[in-house]
Amino acid sequence: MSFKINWNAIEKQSLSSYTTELLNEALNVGKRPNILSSDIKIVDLNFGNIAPDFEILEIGDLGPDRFRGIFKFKYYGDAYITVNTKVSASPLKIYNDNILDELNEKKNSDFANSEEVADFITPNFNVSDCDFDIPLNLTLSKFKLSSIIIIVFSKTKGLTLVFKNDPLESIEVSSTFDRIKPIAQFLQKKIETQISELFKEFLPSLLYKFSLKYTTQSFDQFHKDLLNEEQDLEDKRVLLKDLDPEQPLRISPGSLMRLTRLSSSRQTLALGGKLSCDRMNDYIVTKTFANAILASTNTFNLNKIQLSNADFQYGSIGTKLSIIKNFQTRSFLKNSYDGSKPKRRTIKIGMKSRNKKNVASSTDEDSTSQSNVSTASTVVDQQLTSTPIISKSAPTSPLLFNKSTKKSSSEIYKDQMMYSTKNGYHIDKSEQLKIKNRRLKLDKLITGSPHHLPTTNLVVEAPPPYTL
Amino acid sequence: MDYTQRCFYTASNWNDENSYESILATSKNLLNFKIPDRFKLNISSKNTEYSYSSVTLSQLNKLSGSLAYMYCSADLKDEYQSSKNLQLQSVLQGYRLIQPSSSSSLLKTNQRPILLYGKMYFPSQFLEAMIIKRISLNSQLILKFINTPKLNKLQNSTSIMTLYYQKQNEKSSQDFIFCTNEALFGFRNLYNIGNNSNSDDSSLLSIGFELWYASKSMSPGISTALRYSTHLSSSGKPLTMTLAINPLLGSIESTYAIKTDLSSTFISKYDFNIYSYESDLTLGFDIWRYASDSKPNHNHNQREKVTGGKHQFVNTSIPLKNKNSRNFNNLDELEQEEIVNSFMQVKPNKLIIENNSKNFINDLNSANFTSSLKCFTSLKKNELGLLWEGKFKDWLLTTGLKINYKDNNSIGPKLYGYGLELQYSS
Repeated sequence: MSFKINWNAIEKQSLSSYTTELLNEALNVGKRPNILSSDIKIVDLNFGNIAPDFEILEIGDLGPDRFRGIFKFKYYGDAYITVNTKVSASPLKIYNDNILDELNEKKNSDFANSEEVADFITPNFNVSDCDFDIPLNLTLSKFKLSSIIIIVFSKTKGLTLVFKNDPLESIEVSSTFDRIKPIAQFLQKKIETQISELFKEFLPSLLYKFSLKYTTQSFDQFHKDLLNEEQDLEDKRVLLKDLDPEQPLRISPGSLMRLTRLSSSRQTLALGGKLSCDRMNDYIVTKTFANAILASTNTFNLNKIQLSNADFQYGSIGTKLSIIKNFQTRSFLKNSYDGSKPKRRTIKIGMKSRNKKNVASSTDEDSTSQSNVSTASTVVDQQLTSTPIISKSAPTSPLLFNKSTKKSSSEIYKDQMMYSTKNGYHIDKSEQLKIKNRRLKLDKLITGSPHHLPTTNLVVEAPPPYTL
Repeated sequence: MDYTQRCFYTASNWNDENSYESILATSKNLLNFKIPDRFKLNISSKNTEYSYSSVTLSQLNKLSGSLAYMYCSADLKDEYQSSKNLQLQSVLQGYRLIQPSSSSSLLKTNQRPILLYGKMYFPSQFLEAMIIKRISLNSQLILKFINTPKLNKLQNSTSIMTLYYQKQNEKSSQDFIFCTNEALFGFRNLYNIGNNSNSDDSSLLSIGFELWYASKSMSPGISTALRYSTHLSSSGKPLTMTLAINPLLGSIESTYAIKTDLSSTFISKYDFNIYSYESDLTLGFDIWRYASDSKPNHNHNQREKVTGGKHQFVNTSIPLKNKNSRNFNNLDELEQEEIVNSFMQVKPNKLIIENNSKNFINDLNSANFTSSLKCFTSLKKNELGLLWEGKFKDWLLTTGLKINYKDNNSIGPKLYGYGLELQYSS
């Protein structure tokens, strides 16, 4: 699995200037070497247009406030950085400074002595040690990096990043000394080693510092900063009640549960896509998000009651069946107002294979009569015929958010209604085929070994609130 | 220490002016003087005829100090003065009067005087030591040595030794230098071109160069310099011009220094780099203040007495020169004739110039100054340095400050450092 990084979103003036500031500060920390006669300044910093590739190799730990994973990182981009400094080209001046430095290293805490001693011992150069500074412009471009990285993130401790191998494949160095071949080569070699050093030590510490700024200050703010621009441009933030302004609370509790479920599942990987509903700003439900929920009803039928092998083994089948029975009866009664009782077959418990089929056939019968109830045999959807949210074939799929966002909420609402009415009252042939398929699958599952049963199926969701 | 070392040179008739090392001494003294950056107390004394000791205490953030001992095989009683009787111009570094070394600078005795010096800094326990040994009439050896202690196992002690072998005669001087740090080799050479003992011109033209090569770091250094020093013919005021060039780095440094008065000097220095076109103009001056009780006497008659004192001009290459310093007009006719006859080849005009310059020097040497103020400013670096040195009772006080009056980062002038130094010697 790999990420698609919205690289253009990163390339903002603010981030660029912030990084420049951070790098300027970090490059000039401590005593600068004698060969440099002025501070290092970053003149130009560009992140380029090509995004780096991230590939997930392994995710070790995942939680709302922590994360640990191993990634493959690859970058063949067009980012570049230009650095300006002054190099002292006076060898004897450096010679003098080196003596002083060496003595300063040795001293305990006092500066005065080493200066005096250095004065004493160095020969008095006349003009041989005059200042001579050469301005140096250094441009690093055409980075080629690839490495395996380990990222550990914790909300309290910040971000830790480790490169498993030397990420630098090649780099292009161009400087003021390009014409002088030996110096250019020397610089190229020197910088290559320095850069790999940078990736090993400096960058992790820099990122750590960067992350701490957000984890300690305000994680909320960080998210907002990253998101708000696009949010403002493309979608207005839509509250859930905007979907149906007349009856804002008409969304079934089941749907609400799905919402919460979805949002919580989103949280761990919510690094700022278009679809975001995180815990920090849970009052915001974007339109795209709502659409996604609608679409996901196809695949996420979370309040289904499912029967599985385990139920038969542990004897909870009776309670489940009674739930199903109750529900079916109620929906039958709701739809047919003549007061007649639904026909039911009585089944003797204990005959597993038959039992299953019988239940299925019974619901099959029901489904013909009450049309709108779920078609799957062992699965009973808790829903109302008029609820527009659940549609079998909503046009919105998770991959097509952009399209759907262009529609207004009312349009979507209409669409949903159309679909529900269409599908609600007659089951066509394809529908029946689907039902058959599902039945076959289920049979397979039951006859197969219990290990193959997906564990999620065994988890029985909380009984649907069927008092409406 | 510097003072005693100079005393030693004077006592042993070694002319340390006659070296490429001091070719730019005037501009260094007036433009690159060291400004104290802390409180410092220095007490030194002459223990016996031949030994001296000195204690220094300095306080910046932490108290530190040093203890120095010196032994000198020559008796410096003529040169060494306690701070009570000290003449300021002999200890303070200002305008250097260039005096051509002459063949008469012979050793007083056949002894080869030696100077031993050692200094221990505490609490850092740095050690410095120096040996100056006069090898022959025209050569001497200087060995300087420093050592840092090995305080823990992780760090090594640093030991650096610098060896100078200096040769000089009146025409030229050579220095051979070796420093163990990065195996630095150095060679300095100075030629005195204008120095002709037979001419009465007091001007001196010197050309020299130095070569350096640190063999471990392969860093070379080269510079060449020219110095012309003369006296103004009208008033005898000395002036020095230097031109120093570093061909390797393309920097040219020219200075012009003139002693505008007995008590003031003005110096300007212009730096230019032919590669980077960077330039800098540095200006500096120093002003001396006379003691209130002894104003300098400009009467030529009275000066004669002074010239017989111990600060007599060393240059005695021309016999009867001292006699010439008398006012020529005051002599009777017979004497005048005698002198003119004996110096027929010398133009009287030149003699006047010579006299003027000599009088000036004598005036200077005899003047009783109490304090001096030095100031320099650099136009490119936007720096201003002030140094006041003076006598207060028996103490020698030094105080100064250095500021950057146009700093980019801070608003208003930025203070680099200031300090006070007290010295007493007996």
